[in-house]
Amino acid sequence: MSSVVFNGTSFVLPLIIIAIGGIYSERSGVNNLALEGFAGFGAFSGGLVVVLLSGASANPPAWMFWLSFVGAALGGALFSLLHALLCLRFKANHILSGVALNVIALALVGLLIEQVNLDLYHTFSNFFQLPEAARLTLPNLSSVPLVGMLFANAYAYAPVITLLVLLAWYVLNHTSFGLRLRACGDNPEAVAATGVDVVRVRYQAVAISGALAGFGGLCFAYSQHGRISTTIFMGFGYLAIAGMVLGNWRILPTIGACAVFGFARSVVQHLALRYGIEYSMLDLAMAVPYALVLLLIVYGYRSSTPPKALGKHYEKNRL
Amino acid sequence: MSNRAGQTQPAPGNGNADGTSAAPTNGNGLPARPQGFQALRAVYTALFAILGATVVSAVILLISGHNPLEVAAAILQKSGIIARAHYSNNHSAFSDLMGLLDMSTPVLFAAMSVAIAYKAGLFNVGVAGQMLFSGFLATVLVGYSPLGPLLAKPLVLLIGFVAGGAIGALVGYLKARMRIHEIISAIMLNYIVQYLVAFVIKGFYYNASVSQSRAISEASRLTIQGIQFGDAQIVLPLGFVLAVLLAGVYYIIHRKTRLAYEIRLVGANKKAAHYSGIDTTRTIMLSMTLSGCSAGLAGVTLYLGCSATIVPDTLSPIGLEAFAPALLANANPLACIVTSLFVGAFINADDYIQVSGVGPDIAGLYIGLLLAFWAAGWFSLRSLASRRSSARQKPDGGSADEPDESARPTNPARPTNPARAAGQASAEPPDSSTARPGSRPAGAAEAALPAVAAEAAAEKGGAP
Repeated sequence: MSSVVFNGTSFVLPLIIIAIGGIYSERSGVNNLALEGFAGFGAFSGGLVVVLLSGASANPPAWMFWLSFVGAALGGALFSLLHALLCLRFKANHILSGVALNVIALALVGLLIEQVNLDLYHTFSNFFQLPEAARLTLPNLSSVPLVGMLFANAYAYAPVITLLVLLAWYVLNHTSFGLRLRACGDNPEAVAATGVDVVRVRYQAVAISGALAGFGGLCFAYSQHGRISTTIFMGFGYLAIAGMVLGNWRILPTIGACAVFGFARSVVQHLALRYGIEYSMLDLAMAVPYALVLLLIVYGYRSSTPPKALGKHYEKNRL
Repeated sequence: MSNRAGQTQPAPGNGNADGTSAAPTNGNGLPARPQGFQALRAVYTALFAILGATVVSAVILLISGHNPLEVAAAILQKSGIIARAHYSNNHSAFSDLMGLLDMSTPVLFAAMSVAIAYKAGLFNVGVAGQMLFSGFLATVLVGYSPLGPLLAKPLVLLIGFVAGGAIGALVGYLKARMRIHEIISAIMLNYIVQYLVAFVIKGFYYNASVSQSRAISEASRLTIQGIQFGDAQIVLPLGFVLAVLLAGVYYIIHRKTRLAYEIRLVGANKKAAHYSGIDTTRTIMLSMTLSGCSAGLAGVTLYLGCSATIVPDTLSPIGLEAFAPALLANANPLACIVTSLFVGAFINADDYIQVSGVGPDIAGLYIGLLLAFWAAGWFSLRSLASRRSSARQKPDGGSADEPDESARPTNPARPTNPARAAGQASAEPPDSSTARPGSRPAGAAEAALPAVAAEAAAEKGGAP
């Protein structure tokens, strides 16, 4: 039971933070198919920070763990600015830009990892080793029955993500910046009429999206792989997009949707292991969240209300 | 409508792009584009994308300490266009060339798949899943059977066509009837297929020593291996012949039939298509199914042609990379042949460049950059193309200094302004058949069609 909860939370929390990144971008009116690329490139940047700063030492200091997340957020944000540049400055089709950036991210990560390994260590190697992820047990909360399992021996980034989610929810729904951002996605002309620069708000939204996705991507790299290589592109970014669509572009329902996928996956995984299916057969469990998305969307899509100006280019002088 | 003469970046659908005051419109508020505008725009954008991607990847190569010219030479050598320094036994430039055709076959099928959907205003991002599904089914049903080559090869093609089409049809059904965005459903199907196929392969058809599925029989393989040609061995990619034939057939359908006209109209403006009496549901489902069929053929030519096994837990990168040849060709099936060979040369040379010391992903990077520059250029170059094409339209010439073949108007009967459009509509056999009283003249719709395609596609890109 506790392994189900542990696997579930360590999968769900990064997924939620990536999906919230998607919400920020899409609520401002910029389609974000590139979440997968942002997450992967962010994770790579985090790994790069570790590799550059800790060098060859096998035991990097504990603060390195946290610094890698700063690197991931910065790297994700920088990479997402490419998407913003293509969509906002060059008026590219948002979906094509997303496809392009996903292709570029996969290739660039593979290329840079080998190049950095070659330049720094003179070895041919296609991965960065990450340090052991810090674990955390909150002393008071972990003794509470049921809920306590969420807080026992959890990854140290779990409480940070929880705080980030609360912050993201507050900023989007209860600040003037969030209001402007949401308005940019629904009626950019009205925002412009109040004297706010729509394109600027969208740039900020996409950068936030990239930072959050990069953060989530590095969490996945720590919990699922323990290293950075091109295998970090496992489609979780797309799963986050599906969570966002199912959550109707609102944060709280999106959290619910992501939680459903993640826990369904860990339950199936647990059952598969218990009934003696080999570990290599866990592909079945991996397919569960995606199949669930399809089923849920088929039966629940009608209430879907995407932002009205999503994917449309904003023209300043349009009359 | 505002007249902003002298402004270089006009708003879309708002004022003629060349900034002249007498902007003719087609009665729908959309500017009537000068003759040849779309073709010129497509050519400019493709050239811009190739130039941009080449420059950026050359700079990246220089920074990482490689000579871009050497890499370019390596790609040309691997494609059999320039000779290598020395050839090993049984190998010649011609075998390299055939290897390129072999690798380009799935790229061409996948590019046509993307192009078919793109014409209908849909993004088929599920090509990789459709490829894997059809390749897997053909492998299991035919690849491991003792059938002879005369029976096995057509059967493989048939299974590929049907299996890919089935997934495409599912995506099209969800899109047209349940209003589920094709990107979401296609991506979810990609990963469902990936993991289920991995599960079955690892359970029943696994060659654990190489972490791949067991190799298929030679009889079912679409690329015939080891044919002696002169003093070298070559591969014979049967699929490539089929792909070129299919591109030709699709080009004829695309130019001459009512169905293709309806597909293009739905892609450009779904509402207008609906009001002119086109069954948009049927059109969307049909084009998504056809797109899936082509992706299925890409799958069998990849998994039962270029290679003879399936690596579980991976989707082919060709699925997304196929957007590059499809867009460079502006979804024109004949141009797809050329662009697929171009992109295929990079994919094909991937491991060969690696030997010369460059990371294996430079091809993927180049293709991604092609896509990014194409997407950026499609809007940014429109004023340029518009200015050029209206200059050539003037009666006193200006066209003589531009001998660009592909910039010629593809449809000689296409009207140059709406006033003539009504008169000329009857001169266009396929288009005029769909003209109805009350609808716009078919010629005018045709002229405005691609111009609004980008906006319409962006509009309908509501989700994700």
